[in-house]
Amino acid sequence: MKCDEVREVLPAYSHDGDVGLPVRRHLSRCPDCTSELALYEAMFGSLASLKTHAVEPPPELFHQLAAIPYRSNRIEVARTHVVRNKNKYATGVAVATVGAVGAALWRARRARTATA
Amino acid sequence: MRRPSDHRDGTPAERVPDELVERCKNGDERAWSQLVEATYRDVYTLCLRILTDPNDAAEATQDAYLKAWRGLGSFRGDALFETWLYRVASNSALSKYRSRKRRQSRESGLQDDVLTEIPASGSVEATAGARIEVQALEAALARLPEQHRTVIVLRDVYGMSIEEVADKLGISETAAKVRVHRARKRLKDMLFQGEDR
Repeated sequence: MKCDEVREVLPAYSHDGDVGLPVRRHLSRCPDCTSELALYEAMFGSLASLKTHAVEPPPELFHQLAAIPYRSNRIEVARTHVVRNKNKYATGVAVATVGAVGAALWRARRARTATA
Repeated sequence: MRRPSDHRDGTPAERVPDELVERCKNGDERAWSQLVEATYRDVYTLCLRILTDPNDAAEATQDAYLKAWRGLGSFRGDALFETWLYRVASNSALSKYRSRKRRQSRESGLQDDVLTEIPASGSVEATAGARIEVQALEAALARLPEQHRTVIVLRDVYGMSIEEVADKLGISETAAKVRVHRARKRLKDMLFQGEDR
């Protein structure tokens, strides 16, 4: 195998170790590709170590997260209230719509009468 | 400030006790506070590594915990709670990432966003060598295009499988493999530019 071909599979080899014998054979006698492999190994080692380095969140975030049950419960209470009283709300909306349409028609008629 | 965790497998420093999760399931708000305290730094960090913007990361973290609170009943304990929470968090971060992408495409027609770096922060706990390494790596990650950074974070930092990465990004496994491969090569070049032959 040529160096270019081997280098194409080095990331997967370094991370998962899944390459065939020809690549291993090439690596055993090519110092350049072995050095390249070492760079990938260093990179993967560092990437894995990132998991252990948490970044400090904004100070207010904890309180916002801790308040989620309270906020969520309030939303839940409001939702339950709306669901339980949906007929009343629907009636209210229907009455308001009819009223608004009626008022608009009345105004239009009045405007027409005034012009006539 | 970074807080090195004890675990090497990416889960938060101390495992969340099952009993605490059970109490949360029963609506115990005090237990919820303890659970948040034990996990939110790691969850925020995961979101920040995908999104790079601290405000977006905070919003994604809130969304993740809201979903976690609502979905606690469906957590059966087959996996570690932290693993389940990480999945929820990565979904929230990716959802935020997609909506940001759509917004940016609408506004400017650009494919990649203007990258902001994760704010550099000192680590009093880490050794000098480790600090340089982590900062250099985070800076390089922040400079990667979003598509590449996302797959590196999911696959190589948090150890998700190719299947899971593909599923989360809504792409085929082959596409995920190709993207991971390109992202790794690009990151390696960024990290070791002076050492390439």
